[in-house]
Amino acid sequence: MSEHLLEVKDLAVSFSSYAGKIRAVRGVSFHLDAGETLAIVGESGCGKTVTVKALMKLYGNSAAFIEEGSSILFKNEEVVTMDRKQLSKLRGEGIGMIFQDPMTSLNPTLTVGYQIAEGIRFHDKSVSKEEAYKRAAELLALVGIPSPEERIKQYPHQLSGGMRQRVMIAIAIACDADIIICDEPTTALDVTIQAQVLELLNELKEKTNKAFILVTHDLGIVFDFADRIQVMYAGVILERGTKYELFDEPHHPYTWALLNSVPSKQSQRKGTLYSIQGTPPDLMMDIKGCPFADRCVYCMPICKERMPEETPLSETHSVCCWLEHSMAPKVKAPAAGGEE
Amino acid sequence: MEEKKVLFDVKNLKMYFPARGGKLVKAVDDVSFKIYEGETFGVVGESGCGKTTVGRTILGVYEQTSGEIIYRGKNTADFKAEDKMAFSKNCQMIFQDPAACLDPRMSIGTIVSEGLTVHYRNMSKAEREERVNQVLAYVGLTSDYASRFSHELSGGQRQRIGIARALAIEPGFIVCDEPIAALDVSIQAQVVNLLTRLQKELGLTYMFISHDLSMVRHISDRIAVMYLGSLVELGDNKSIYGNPMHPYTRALFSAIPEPDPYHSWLKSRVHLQGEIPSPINAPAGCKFCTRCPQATEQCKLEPPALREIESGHFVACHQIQPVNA
Repeated sequence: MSEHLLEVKDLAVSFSSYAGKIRAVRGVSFHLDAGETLAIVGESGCGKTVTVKALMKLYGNSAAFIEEGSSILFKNEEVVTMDRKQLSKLRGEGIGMIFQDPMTSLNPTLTVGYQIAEGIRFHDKSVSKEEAYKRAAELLALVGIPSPEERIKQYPHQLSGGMRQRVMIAIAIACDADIIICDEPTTALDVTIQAQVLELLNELKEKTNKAFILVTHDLGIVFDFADRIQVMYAGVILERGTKYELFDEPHHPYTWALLNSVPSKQSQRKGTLYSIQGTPPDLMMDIKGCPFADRCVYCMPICKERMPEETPLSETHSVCCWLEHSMAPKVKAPAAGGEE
Repeated sequence: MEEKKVLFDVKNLKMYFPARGGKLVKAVDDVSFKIYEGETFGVVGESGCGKTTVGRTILGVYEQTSGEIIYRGKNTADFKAEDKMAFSKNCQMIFQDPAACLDPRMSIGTIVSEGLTVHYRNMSKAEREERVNQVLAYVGLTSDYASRFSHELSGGQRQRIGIARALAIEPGFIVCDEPIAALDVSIQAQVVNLLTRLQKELGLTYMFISHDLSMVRHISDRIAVMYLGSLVELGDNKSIYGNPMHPYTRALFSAIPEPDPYHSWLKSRVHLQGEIPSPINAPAGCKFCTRCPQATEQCKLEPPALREIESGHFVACHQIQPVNA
C-alpha cells in the first residue's frame, strides 16, 4: 500500500527500432501527493516526456513498451497492467494532460466546444449534449477566454496560439482529473503569452487541490511554478529536491551546468557562459557508469564503471553522483553567471 | 564617445508582402536604424514582429518595398554587379534551423566550400580544402567532419557547420537569425560562447536576432525592440535593460523568466492584456495602443516617431518626453 497519490517505481520504457532497442527511460522512481507540483527538468531526448506518457500508457501503436519490473501506482491501482477500459477511465478522470504543441494536438476539423464536450460526455454518459456544451463554455470562461459562447463554435485555426493552449488546459481539467500533466506547456508560445498561461496554471493550482507534473527544459519557469524538482538526464534522475534546495545547494555537476548555462541578470556581459562540452549519450547503447560521465569535468575512473547510488542529503533532497562518496575529492560548485 | 564607423544605415525601411484579397502584410513598417562596425546589434521581439524580415531585407534576400539601405556609404539600390558580389562576400547569414539549412545530399566539405568557389575563383582545390579545415577548426570541429553528411551530426554540430559556412569567405558582417532557438540549453551556451570568441578574434559585426531576451542581453552592445513591424525602442544594452521606457519593452522584459525561487517574476511582471493584432489589420496609430495601459486618443490616431530621449536611447511613444526638452 502506498500513501501517495501516485507512486512510480523502477519505471523503464524502451522503443524497439530496426537498429535495436532504444532505452529511453532507464529506471526512474518518484511519487506525487495531492496538491503539490513536481517538475521534471532536462534536455530534449532525456526521457521526460516518455516518462509522463507512461503514466497513462499513452503510446498508441508506437513501438514503445514498458519494461517488466516497472510499477506505476495511481491511488493504489497498478497502471501497467490495466486493460483498455480501465485506461480510458484513468485518462481524463484520473490524469489529464496538456500537450506541448496546441496546434497539432487539437483536431482541426472539430470545433473546440466539441473537443471539450467530447471528454465530458465520454466519462459521464448521463450528461446531455446541451449540458456538456454549457460546461465547455464555463470551462473556457474559467481559463480566461472572452465570449466563450461564441468561441465554442469556432475551430482551432480561428484561435491564436495562446488561446489554443488555454483550450488544451480546459480539456485537461474538464473531467476533474486529480493529476494534471503539463508537457512543455509554454514552449510554443511567446514570452508575454507564456507569462499569461503560467499565471492561469498558477491560479488553477491555488484554486483546486490538483497535483501537477510540469515537464520542461526551461529553468526560469520551474522555480515559479514547482514545489519539487527532479533533474533527468539520459533516462535517469540525477538529482531531486525542493526548489529551494536545488537552487541554493545543487549537488550534481549537471544541475550546476543547467543553472549556469542560462545568462542571468547579474552575469558578465559577453563573458564566457558555463557550458558543457559534448552531447548526451546514445540511448541505444548500454551505459555502464554514470550517463553524464563523458561530459563531466569532475569525472573519476569509477564514474565510467558503475552508476552511483542515490545519496540522500535531506528528507527531500538526493543526488546520484560519486562526488558525494566520502573518498571523492571535495568539489565546489562553480559560481553562477559565468566568468570573464 | 569615440567616433564609430557606420556599417549599415537603414532609413525608413518598409517591407510589405501581398496577402489574399489585395491586402498587405506590413512585416516591416518604416524602420530606421544604424549598425556600427564591430558591434553586436541585437533585435528582439515576439514572433511575427518582423525581426527576421529586417535581417533578410538588409542582406538583399527580399527587395524592399521602400526605404534605403546604405552600406558603407553606398546605397544598395545603386549597386552594380561587382558591388553586389563584394556585398555578398562581406555579409553572410546564420540560419535558425540548422537541420533545414544544410543540403542533406552534400558533404560538409562541399557545403562549407561552396561560397569559396563563387568568391575565390582562383583558389586551387588544395587551398580550398585547407581553408575548409581552417574554418572547421575555428568552430571547434576536426577536419574529418568535411567528409561527413549533415544527418551524421548533432544539432549543435550542425549549427557549427552553419557558422563555418558563413565564415569561410571571411565576411565582416553576419546576420545571426535565431541561431540558438533550435538548440538545447547546454548546447546554446556552447554556440553563444563560440560566437563571442569569433567576434573577438576576427573583429566581426553581428546582427543578432532572437526572441530569447536573456541571451540578447548577454551578447549585444545595442538593442532594437520591435513590435508588429515597427521599432519601439532602440538603445545600448545598459539603457535598454536598465531603463526600459516604452510600455511594451517594460512588459516584455518583465516577462523574462528568472530562475530564482525567492523572487517571483510572474507576480511582479507588468500585465499585458490581449494578444498581438494581425499585421494585416494593424492599428492606425501606435501599433501597441490596443494593449497599452497608457494609451490615449492621440496614440490611436497618430503613429509615434522614434525620438531620442536620452543620448543614444530612442523611444517611439507619445507619452514619453525627452529629458532635456
